[in-house]
Amino acid sequence: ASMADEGLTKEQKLEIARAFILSAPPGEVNDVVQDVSTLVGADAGLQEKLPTILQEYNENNNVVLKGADGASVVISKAGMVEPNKYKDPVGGKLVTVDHTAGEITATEPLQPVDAAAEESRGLIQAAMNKYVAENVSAGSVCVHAASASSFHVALVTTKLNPRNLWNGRWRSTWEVTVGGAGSGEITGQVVAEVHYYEEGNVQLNAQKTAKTPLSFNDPPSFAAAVVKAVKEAEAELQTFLEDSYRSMSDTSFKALRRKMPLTQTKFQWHKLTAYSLAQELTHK
Amino acid sequence: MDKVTPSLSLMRRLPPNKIEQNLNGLLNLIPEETDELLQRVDQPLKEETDAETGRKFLLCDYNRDGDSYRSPWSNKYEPLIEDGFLPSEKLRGMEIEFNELFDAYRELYYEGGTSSVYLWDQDVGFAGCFLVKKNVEGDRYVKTGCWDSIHVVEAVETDNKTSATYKLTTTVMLYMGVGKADLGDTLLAGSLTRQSSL
Repeated sequence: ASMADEGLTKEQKLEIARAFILSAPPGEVNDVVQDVSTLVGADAGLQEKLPTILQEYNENNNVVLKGADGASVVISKAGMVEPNKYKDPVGGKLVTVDHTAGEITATEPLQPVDAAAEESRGLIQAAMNKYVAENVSAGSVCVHAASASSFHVALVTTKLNPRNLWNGRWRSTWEVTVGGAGSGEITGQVVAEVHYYEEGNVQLNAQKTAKTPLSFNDPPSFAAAVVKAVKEAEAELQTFLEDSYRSMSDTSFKALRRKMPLTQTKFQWHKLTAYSLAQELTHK
Repeated sequence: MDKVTPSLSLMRRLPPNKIEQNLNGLLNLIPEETDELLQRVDQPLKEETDAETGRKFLLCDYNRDGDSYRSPWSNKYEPLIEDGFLPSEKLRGMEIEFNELFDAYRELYYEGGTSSVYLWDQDVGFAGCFLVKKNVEGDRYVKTGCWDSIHVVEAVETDNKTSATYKLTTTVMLYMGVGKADLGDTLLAGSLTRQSSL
């Protein structure tokens, strides 16, 4: 190999760094950024690129950023006004964020633009707030109105326990569109991610996509129909996971490795001749 | 600057269903640590077929010589090389027994798959690795699944040869895709490492 070929270009290094950071497990993005920074080195220009990379991470994962005075915002692309400015219709604020530090740095009042859109948005938000309070532990949800016939719902909750070496996140993201009178559609996905890393690295990644028609006859029943669709999709994934955990030991794992041989007795290491003979007999 | 520690730390956080891609990324960033990383990062085992016996065997650093791998069944290298490194006669005798025993164990618990045992001399005592790989595809309960067991044992006899101490390091790697289109797609993947001594 020629000397000229040695080493990656700055851009190639940043691309690897970006891919690593975007795949960080919940609650561990700062640890990943720290390790990646050490590997790419100070002159790769990673520090300058971090705000953009972390903006993408935060938007992909419905990350909640907080600030002083209890300010809080669910980061989603639908609410982005500028790379570091997001609408928070829940708090009626326009928030300035620092993606790298992971916090809100300033807030200013936010005026809703379209009264009709805001009416529906408010009803969906209230209905989703109630759903989250009743069903999602420590959850956050934000509804954005792009117009009176187009809405975005971002829901998220995390359970972080780095002391015990595990972290998890549940999020769902939805696009709601209104077609003709009294009909619409909601599409989106529910995602659960869990990471366990005590002397190892085990990750669960579960996803469900859903596309559901909506029918309603007024704004309140519209909001109710949205919540009903979200609730059904989330409940389906949760039930599927719970059923999987219960049966995994006897079914999925068994397909890979039995807990006990068919003989119902543990392997007797000193009885090799018995097994060899049995094997020979059964294979003939 | 220590770049191995942050690399290993990353391998414990990045998605385990992408071990090969993650490792490639790391090797591209710090090619000077290639040997160290390849030795210390567990990867799913690869298989090869022994030309002489037609049996499958597993590949790892312990049965490798250059680009060839030694089969535990024929004790020959695949692709064939003239003077590849071979275990001593005494060790090879034990290796043959271990492989037979472990093969029986594998059949009872895994009902399929491939196993291999490789032994090597240490400065004091000897060591060995016991490997199992089992793939599942299109099973009723598992869409795509893979189990890799990597057990490494170090055995040191006492001076009077009346007893020995054993140190075991076990890594199990799992990849399990369970899915039903409308209900959800679930992927459980990862590895755990445990140690014990006797």
